[in-house]
Amino acid sequence: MEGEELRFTGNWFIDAGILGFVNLMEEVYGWDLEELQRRIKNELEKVYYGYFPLAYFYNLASEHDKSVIAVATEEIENFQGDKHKLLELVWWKFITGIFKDKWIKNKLKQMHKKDVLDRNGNPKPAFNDETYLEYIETREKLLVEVACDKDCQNALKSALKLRKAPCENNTHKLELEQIEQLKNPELLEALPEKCSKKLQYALEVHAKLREYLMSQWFALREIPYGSVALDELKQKSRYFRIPIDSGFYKNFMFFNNSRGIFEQLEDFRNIIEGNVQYTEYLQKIDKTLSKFLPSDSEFPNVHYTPIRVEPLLRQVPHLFIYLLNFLNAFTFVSGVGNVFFYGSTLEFTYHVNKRLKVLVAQTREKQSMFRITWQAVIDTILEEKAQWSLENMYLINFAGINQQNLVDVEYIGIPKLHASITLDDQIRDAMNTSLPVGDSKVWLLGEFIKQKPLSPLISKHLWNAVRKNSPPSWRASLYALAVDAKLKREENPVLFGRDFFDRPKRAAVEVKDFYRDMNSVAVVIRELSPEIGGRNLIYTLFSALRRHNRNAFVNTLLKALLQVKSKDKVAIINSYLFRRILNNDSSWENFALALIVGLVGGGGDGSSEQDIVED
Amino acid sequence: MVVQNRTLWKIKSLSREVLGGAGSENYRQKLVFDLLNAVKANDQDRFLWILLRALNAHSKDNHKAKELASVLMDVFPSSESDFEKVAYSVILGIMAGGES
Repeated sequence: MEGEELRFTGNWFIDAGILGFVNLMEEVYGWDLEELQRRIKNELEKVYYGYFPLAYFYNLASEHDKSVIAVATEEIENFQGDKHKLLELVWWKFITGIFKDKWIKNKLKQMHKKDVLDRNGNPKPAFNDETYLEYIETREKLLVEVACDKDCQNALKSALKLRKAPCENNTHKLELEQIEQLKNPELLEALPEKCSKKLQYALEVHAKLREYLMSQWFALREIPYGSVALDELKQKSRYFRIPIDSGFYKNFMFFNNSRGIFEQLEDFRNIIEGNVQYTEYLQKIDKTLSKFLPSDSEFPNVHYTPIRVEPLLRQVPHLFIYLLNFLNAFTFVSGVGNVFFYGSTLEFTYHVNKRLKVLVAQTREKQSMFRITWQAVIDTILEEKAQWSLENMYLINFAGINQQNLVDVEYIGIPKLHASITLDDQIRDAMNTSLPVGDSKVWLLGEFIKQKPLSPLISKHLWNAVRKNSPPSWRASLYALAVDAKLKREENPVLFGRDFFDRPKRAAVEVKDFYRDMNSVAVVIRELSPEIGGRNLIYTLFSALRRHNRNAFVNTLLKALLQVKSKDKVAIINSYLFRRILNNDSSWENFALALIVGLVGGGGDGSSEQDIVED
Repeated sequence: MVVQNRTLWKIKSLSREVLGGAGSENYRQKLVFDLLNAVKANDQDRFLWILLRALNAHSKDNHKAKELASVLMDVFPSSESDFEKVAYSVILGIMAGGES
């Protein structure tokens, strides 16, 4: 399969996995998408059997030592030979290395022999090593001698600042952290001599145990592959299990606690190869792999037929690698959740999500996080001038993972029409603001992208302004009304006609037309406001609008206009009433609200005057 | 029958030509005021009665007045929403004044 580069499949959770895979490789090796594509093209097997396994486990580890990556990269680069041998090399030499400390710590922290034995008194598979068990037993005995000695008990308690006595029912209560603390010579000297001597013995055993474990773990990489020693080691597969777990994948294959180090390797190899015969886990895609899907066994009737993997693997040979990387596609944004923007191509999606990460890292203000997530999208689109990308763009968002379930999942799609309007500098600029609505503030552009109707918001905003006697956001309100009017007009388009396909291109132009018209009439009515008693009219007009009563609205306004001396100005308003309100059943309320903006606008602001000049 | 936008334009334009300059400013204001009250009450009969009386008084031998009357006869009687549109087209025409 040489030359198989990464590209999106059209299925969002596989694609999220592909992006997750790209993210993982970038995080660990610093390769950007281009570099990764180049490597996949030139050395596909090294990427999937060498670099990927190392990166995946490196990412799972809690402590990261970059030097491992540097050494491993060199070795993989120079490796000549079979892909399976490469995987084995990476596994035994580097992946085990990454987990050395955790593995040793897991073994060291077992302080009591009873904890490493099962109910029948036999060693648990994870601790089944004779020498190890002996060390554990000896160390426990020595610790009991100190901790349960009457003279030493209190000294230990105060030296370690313990809340409870270090001995209970002839069992010591010391933990690994405390043993490590006691290595401090000052602490040791502070104890009575009898105690410090006994403790010294225990610490010596502890140190020997650590050395023993270390040598065992190091031996893993030294054992020549396929030798007798390796076969012996297989008997202790569980003992040498790589200590990994995942809140997301829980018991999936190599994460399962019952899989030893050899089984883990075997699981991983079959995952890379997508070997459906290996286990039933690799025959289907269900909740085990993607929490966005139902469980195959609990809900067998959700799909017409269960999703089987075989046909998918023909299209996407490394499917499971991607599915394993699903979570890496998401960026955590505080206050918003885990966010993934999904676009129609890998390149575009990659750039948006990368930008999002950068923006999130740069910003500390929690309030503006939601805006930032969208800013990342908008910036990338503007930079790439990729209008078509936004058309097929989705935001997938979840708050967290709870018991293997994703919490508060939200999908937002952005339609073509919204996209082209967002892309217009002037409109976006005007709507990129927070309006006071009721007791809170609402980010106008965000509401628009989420496809919420804007005129009710503007109506509330105006009402706010009336009550508080403050000027409304003139430009933002009028643009929002214009955009909303445009969308209402497009609600029932004739599908597939020429007009239908031209809609997005025309959208921004028409919105600006509407805005210009609204702005000029609002300015005129603002000027006439003192003459017609505008302040008092607002209430009657608002009430007519609330009842959706066009007759009452026009009637009230015309009666007021009858008193006006400047007939030119009345003519401008009348022409607007005729064109935009009477002859417009779909969005007349938006145009009517624009008149109220003018009346509420009272003094108005400088920017609105400027608009008229500009337009 | 739904009134076409084209018809409304025509009604507005004819009203402006026929009644936009009729009588004094005060007369026209009173006329518009009466018409507005009739629309507000959705009283089609009254609206037509006031309008035709004004047409009769101010447009003798005016062929545009006859044309307006004939267009109106085509659209009346009409549904409430159509009446609203037609009536306001007439009113806005009158308010637009005599100049074209």
